[in-house]
Amino acid sequence: MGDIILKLQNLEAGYIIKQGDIKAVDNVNFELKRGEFLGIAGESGCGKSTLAYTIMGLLEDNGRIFNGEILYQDKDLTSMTENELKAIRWQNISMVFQSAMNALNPVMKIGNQLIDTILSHKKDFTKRDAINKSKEMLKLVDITEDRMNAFPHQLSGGMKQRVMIAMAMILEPDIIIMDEPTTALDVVVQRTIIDKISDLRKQFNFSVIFITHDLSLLVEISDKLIIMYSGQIIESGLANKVYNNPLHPYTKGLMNSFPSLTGKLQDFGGIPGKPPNFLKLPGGCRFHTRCPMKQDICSKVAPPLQQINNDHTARCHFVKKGN
Amino acid sequence: MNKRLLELNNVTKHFPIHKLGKKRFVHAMDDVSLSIHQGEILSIVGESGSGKTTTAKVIAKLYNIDSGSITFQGNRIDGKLTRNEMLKYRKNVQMIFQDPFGSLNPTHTIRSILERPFIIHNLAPKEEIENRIKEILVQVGMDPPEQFMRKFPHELSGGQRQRVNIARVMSVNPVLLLADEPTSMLDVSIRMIIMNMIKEFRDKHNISYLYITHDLAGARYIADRIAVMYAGMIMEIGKADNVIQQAYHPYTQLLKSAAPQPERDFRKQKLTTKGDIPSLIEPPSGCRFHPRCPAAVPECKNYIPPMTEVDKDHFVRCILK
Repeated sequence: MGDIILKLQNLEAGYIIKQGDIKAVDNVNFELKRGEFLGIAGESGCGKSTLAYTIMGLLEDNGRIFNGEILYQDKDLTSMTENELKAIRWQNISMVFQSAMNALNPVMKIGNQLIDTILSHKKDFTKRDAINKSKEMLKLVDITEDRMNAFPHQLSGGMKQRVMIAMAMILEPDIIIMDEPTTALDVVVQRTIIDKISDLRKQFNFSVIFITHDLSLLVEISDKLIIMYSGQIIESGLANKVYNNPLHPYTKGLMNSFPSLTGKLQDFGGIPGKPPNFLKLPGGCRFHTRCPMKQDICSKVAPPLQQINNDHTARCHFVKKGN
Repeated sequence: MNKRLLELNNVTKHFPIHKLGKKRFVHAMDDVSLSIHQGEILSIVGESGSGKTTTAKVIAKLYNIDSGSITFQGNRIDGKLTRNEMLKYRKNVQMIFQDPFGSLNPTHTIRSILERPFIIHNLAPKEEIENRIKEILVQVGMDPPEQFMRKFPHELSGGQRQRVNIARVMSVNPVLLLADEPTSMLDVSIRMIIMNMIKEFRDKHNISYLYITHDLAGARYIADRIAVMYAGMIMEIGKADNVIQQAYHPYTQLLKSAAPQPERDFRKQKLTTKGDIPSLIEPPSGCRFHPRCPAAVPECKNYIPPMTEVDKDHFVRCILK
């Protein structure tokens, strides 16, 4: 695995609404290496999609970056103008959106959508080059050339998602952010897409930030894992370490939320309650309202994200070094 | 456990589509036979478009069947029922829908949503209804109930809405519940809680379930028996653990290898199939799975294999067995 290509430092971002500011991403730090597969997991409303859109510079009108830096190859994306960002977006960092069904233009042939992507970024490409490149990309994701003339509604859900992946890869970016790319798909289709992503990653050595709430899938495919809760990172580490030795009670709860296919059958619990409202965050640890191990200190003092083992961090008062 | 509650025999359901004067059919269910025993959870597993939901809706009598028979507690219910018979059947058989956001009337409070079954089925005198609603809300974990009864569906989270749905079906004391992917639209943390609640009602009230899902691991966790459906047909049916551990049908094996498994390093294993679910308007000749099947032989194209018993109570529709 190579050098660090993306580094987030104390990133705080969110939305300004009538009732106040919502910090959906709160003091997030992480590093992404070239060729790495980083998984980000959390419940809906934990800020994982906001994080993705913040990195892309695609927050909605009421979205703001309150603080912190997003360093892409040592250049800070948060201080760039829209035009500077446009040069990086898609060429260097691209994205696969959650619902491919809505992300593709329904009245435009998919071939033209791919060609458009190339022509608007690469000034030295002729139309002919762009057509050839588009065909080549479609072939990479197992879609035959003749589908260049198909409209999105003529493709199945899995094919549309593969077109989205082709589109995200077409400018050969360093980083592809995938926001729940397989959530709306069936298990078998999901598996073929995941296999495809892993093949292409080997071939082109790009990094992936993969966002999902399906932890069972994420553990299987990620190198590194980040668990988010209420806007904060509450645990991070190598995927197999986090799976085999989860430290934070929330991670333990999540790991106890999906039954196994082959292992012994046991009772699984889930996590009672729901995540806190961003406008009325509980004092102290944000998870204490749902935590089975809660003590007095939890509602008073917010725990910092501590390094427990090499590369394994957790945000909990009761997780100590050497655990 | 041994009493048969519901039985489907060779049930077929085709939906007509009219296009350019030519009448064609969507083959949503073909030759589906299954039974559910008292107190049993039968899970139907399959990809979208495999006919799972149609099966539930046919049992709920939301669709009429084209051929075959459905027997409930020894009586045929597939024909036309009188209003009273229908009301009685609906009191016994209820459905939990997939989408907790679409299955509650947004303009009604939780109280008025939960009042309806009591009024329709005339289950309790007016002054008792409120207490009964409170009891049921507590049963589904919505405590204190007074606080929730005033609310509208949009004020609740997805998990809470699904709890209201379960409270609504439980209020009529049903014998059979048809649960159509009740957890697929919920967050992971709440899924197990809803699944455990379903199991608890089975254990406490001896309710039977048809539990539809596309999650094989979830089916193994919750169900006594599993039926695997593909393109409108049942491909394999048997005891949950047998179907998963000794999957005979290539399609069951495919589903198994596609399911996420954190214990496994996925980079080592590849799927051996290609293509999507076939068109149900012109289903493939012979075995419906043969175009995608890694083990297909030429005969697969020519005839539809019958269900064959491979082990005790374990049936497979494949000529290789």
